[in-house]
Amino acid sequence: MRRVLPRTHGFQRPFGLWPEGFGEGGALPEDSEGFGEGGALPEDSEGFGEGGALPVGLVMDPIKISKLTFAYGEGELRRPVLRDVALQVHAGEVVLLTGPSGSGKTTLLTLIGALRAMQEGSCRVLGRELMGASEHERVRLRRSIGFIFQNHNLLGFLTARQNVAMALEVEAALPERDRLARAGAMLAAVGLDGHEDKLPAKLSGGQRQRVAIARALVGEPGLVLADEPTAALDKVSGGEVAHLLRDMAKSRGTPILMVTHDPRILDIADRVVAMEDGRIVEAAAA
Amino acid sequence: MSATMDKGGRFGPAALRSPDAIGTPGLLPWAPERTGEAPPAAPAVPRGPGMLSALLLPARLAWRQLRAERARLFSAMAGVMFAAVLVFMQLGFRSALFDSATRLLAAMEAELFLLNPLTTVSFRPEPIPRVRAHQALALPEVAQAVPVYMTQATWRNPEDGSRRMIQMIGFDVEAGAMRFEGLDAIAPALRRVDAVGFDTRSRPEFGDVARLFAERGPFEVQVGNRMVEVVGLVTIGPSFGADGNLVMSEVNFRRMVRERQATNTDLVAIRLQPDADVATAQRRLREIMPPDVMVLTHAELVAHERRYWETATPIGFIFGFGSVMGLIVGMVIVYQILFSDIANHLREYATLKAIGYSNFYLARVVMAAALILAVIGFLPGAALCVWLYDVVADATFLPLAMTFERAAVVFALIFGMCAAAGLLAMRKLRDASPADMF
Repeated sequence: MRRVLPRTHGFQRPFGLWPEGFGEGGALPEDSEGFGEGGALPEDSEGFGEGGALPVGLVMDPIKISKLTFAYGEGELRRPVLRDVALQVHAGEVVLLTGPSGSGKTTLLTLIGALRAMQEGSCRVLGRELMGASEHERVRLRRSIGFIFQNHNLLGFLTARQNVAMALEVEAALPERDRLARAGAMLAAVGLDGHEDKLPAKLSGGQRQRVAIARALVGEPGLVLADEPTAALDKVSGGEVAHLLRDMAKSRGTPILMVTHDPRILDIADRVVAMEDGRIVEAAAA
Repeated sequence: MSATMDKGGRFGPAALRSPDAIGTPGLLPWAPERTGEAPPAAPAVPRGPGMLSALLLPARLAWRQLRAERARLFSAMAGVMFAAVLVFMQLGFRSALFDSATRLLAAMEAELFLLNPLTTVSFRPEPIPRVRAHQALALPEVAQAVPVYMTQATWRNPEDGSRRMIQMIGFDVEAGAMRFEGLDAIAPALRRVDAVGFDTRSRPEFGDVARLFAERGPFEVQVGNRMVEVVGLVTIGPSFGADGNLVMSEVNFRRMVRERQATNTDLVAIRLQPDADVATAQRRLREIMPPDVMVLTHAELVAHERRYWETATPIGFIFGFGSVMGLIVGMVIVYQILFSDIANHLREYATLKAIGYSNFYLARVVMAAALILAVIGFLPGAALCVWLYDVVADATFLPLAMTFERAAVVFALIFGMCAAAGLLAMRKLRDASPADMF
């Protein structure tokens, strides 16, 4: 018996490092939670192990949250922002997270991104349970996640290529030449061929956001978290960035969880999750 | 799915697409049974960062960040340079003090010395019985025992008549116990009555004696209450204790300093036989000498003089304190630069944390920035001090010059100063919260 992964479109793996199975039809043994034979990591794996980034792309549900509760402050000042949240995101899925300001979207994103320590409930990201994870374990997990911030946050003193290569330099497992080559290829993939050696100040807002996307994707992450990636962009640039992300998600099978208020990009979503007052109130297929 | 392996040793569908595998199912990709070739080397397994990368990559990031803001970089450089110059000058003065203070004693040729235990510094010696020199000659390994007389007297400037205290050194000028430059040439002349040799490196307030001597030849000057004749020139150099020097024979010294008892001297320089062991001779001399003299080697005599300036005067402390102040000022400057640098780039640091950079890595970036500042501030500071040493040496006649040892010490101090500033500034990194990036 085999089952076929949904939403893998059979695109070429860009750097040859993506785990076998993505983009190749995705045939899997039924009893496997991962991709490719022999290399499957059980979905319930708890271990962070030692060393650099975690292996990615081996988990069926890269995000699996249940009974997640989070509050800021202590004692009388304690203010709950997430209440009993449950959410599951599948491989290759593009999920938009919407909701009014203060509904807990960003806090949820920071918890999934291992940027904050958990307080209550379960949050399993790329097969790793974040409840009780140490700072060191969270730092390691972050290396397997691609982050796209609203304000791109590029390092102003580095060129576009160097900014993108920074995502690979964190472990320095690749030689410098390979890092720069992959960064250049990734920039080309997001349409920035010829702009590799420009400083961020010399790029337009849309181009900077593309560099940020390239930085998020160059390490071939198992998950991409994006916060209003199109908010600062005009309609054309916003649409291009949104579809670029969707194409990347589909070609690589990388799930994308995106906080956005931008109605122009709803069409890229597989699912829209609405939040209100710290709870998920609606999860609709797009 | 068959467990076919690809070239990378992985199992999976990619192996099925391998050209080798497609044509000959069941064969290993390199098909040694077909080609007879040895299997290719296993592909390199990606390794974690080596020690060199772990140091160089943060340093490169730090340098790129520093270089991007030239004004900030130059102000930091100036701050470190200022600290380096301050420390160089303080340590230079301190060293010049000690070098000049011991220059006279360092110029003595003897292996052992007899000194009154109460003598704290050479320009204010306590007398010892002259007979101790004769007693020393009782040992077969002693070749010569030369009494040395030292005191200060008033020199009258032959050009303008002004008066100034000058150091007088009397000894047997032909015994070879002193190696002042020019002494050998004038030694016969110094045997004449009331003949003296003038130190050409004495301060200019004593008059341009060298010029006068060149113009007139031997000429008379007043020293104390006596007219003496300058018969030649030697080179010694002033010290913090003496602005100028006069050398003369032992007999002329006693003529000029009549209040001195003939039975006393200030120092006895002992020259040993060529094959004598200094330590053994020192031990044997101590055995035969009464406790009113101490027996010191040349190095011990210089160290004794140096100890006076280090401990019995505030001068050594003042220059040491000046060095510390320079380092503190430099540290504050570097700390301010690094701190504001981190504060201005908190978002970038937080972003790096978000994408998986550890606090330790970022701490290395800050530390590397501090140490880069140490290097690029030290180098121009050292170059500037080479020039400043010349200027100050010309003005003060003190032996100020750049030495490798001092440059190494100052670099180590500046390096430590910047490292301390970096450690302090690192605390600001805690404010870079990756959670605030969303």
